[in-house]
Amino acid sequence: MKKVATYQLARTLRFDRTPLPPLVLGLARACRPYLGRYAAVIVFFGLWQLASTLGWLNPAVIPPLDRIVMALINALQNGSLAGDIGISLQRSGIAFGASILIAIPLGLAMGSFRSIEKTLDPILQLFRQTSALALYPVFILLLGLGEASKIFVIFWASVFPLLMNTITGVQQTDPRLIEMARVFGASRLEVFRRVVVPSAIPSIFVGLRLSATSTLLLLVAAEMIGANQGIGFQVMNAQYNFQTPLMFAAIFLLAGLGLLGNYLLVLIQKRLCRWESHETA
Amino acid sequence: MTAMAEGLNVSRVNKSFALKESRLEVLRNIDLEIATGEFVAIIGASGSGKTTLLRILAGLDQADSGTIQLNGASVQGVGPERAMVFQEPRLLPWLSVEANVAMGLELMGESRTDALRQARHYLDLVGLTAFYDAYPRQLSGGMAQRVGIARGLAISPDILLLDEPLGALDAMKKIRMQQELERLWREQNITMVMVTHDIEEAIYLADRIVILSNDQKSALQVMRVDLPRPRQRSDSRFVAYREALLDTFHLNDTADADATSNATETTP
Repeated sequence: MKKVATYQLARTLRFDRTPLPPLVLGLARACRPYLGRYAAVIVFFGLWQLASTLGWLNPAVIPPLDRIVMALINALQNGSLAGDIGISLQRSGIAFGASILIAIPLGLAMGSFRSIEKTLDPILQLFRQTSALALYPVFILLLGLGEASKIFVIFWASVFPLLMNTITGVQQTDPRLIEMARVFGASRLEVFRRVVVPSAIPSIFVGLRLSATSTLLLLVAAEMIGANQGIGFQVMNAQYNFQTPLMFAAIFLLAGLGLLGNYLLVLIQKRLCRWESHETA
Repeated sequence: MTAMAEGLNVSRVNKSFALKESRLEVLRNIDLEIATGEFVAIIGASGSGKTTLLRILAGLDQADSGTIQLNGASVQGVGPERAMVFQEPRLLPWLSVEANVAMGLELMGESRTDALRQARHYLDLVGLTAFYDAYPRQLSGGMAQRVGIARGLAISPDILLLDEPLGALDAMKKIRMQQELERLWREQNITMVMVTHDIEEAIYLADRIVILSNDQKSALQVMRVDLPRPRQRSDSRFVAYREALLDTFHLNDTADADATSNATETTP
């Protein structure tokens, strides 16, 4: 992509009047929309690379990107990060899965029945406002220093955004649509299935994406405190051993994981909510 | 199907709503008989209870007292023999047009395939053959309202209740839809009860016009429209009906006639 950009630049500045080969031209054309969109990212990494190689920043602290990428490739090839990636995925997967299994049904129930919401809301608000990290020592005392306490602290942080957004989604159902369904003979259960749940889905996905972010945040925090494996642990460990390229490699891995998770959720949402993306006539 | 009690029979219906410290009486002792296959328009100023009356007929609201009978059987709550077309189309945005129309049939226990097949038939009737798969947000206001009408007709009700269904349309579309509605009413041989604030619409469509007034003391006024169909808005007799109706609302009074009649013309 950088090469194409340079090519483009050369063309515009008319340094080079030879016609561009069609492949490059096609590639440049294909990249143009992305070029605008990701310009800031490209500039950021470009500056990083420059600053580090030219010595504006201490390369021992901020290594150039090529060394970070090499460290990442090496670690992936020799499998030294494989165990860490596996355990991190397992922890976040179990916690996120448990959040989905608990928050969505509970949220649908709380959104549908005022009495359940009134009973549970105060205690859930109290739990929600208590930082998961502050409770981590408590979870360690209760569940030990093993996997259980780590998964539980991640679950604690990821369950509330999903729960709150599910409740909101249910409560924001257009009452006029509910009334319409009733006129056509829908029972309470049919109204729930045909009107309430579908109309809550966009809001549930907002919750899922917030939850995924919290999951990753707490995954790293939990792995930095009292773990001996995991990507978060590797960030700390590499820093400890002054392997800054490896440290950044692990950080990039976490960022990539976050982006991938978000991308997948957006993809699923687009699939489920095709009606939202259709253009108006 | 007894000959004695054909059609819809509304008898001594009362309805009031609780306000902070008093009760607002909306309908008082309403008596109304609607024959099978008749087109009845209900007009009245806002707050006269016309939508409330329609909602009671649909079973969405309950009368404080009085009875409603359809073909001799007492009407309680909602039922598939009465369908409703709302002021806003109220389509489910996540369902395709055909699935929206099919929903009523599915709720009556039809299989999905049967329901969709019938839904398409009714979409053909309202001129939306090309839009089976479209989503509601892709439709214009008039098209969305056609879907609403198809959804109502699809469950083959005895009576279709329409709550200002054309109120939000522009003048040209409105006239087109009035013609379509009359055609559907004729072809489907169905009873239609339509709430409207549009006097010309009422005269154009209705066999009889029920006038609800804010003054609860006066009895329900009913005006029969004796004009051959299709009716011409420029016809002198059409104009005479219009004048007569405007008189009942005191809109032809000389004093501030201009201001008030303009106000009604532009009521949303």
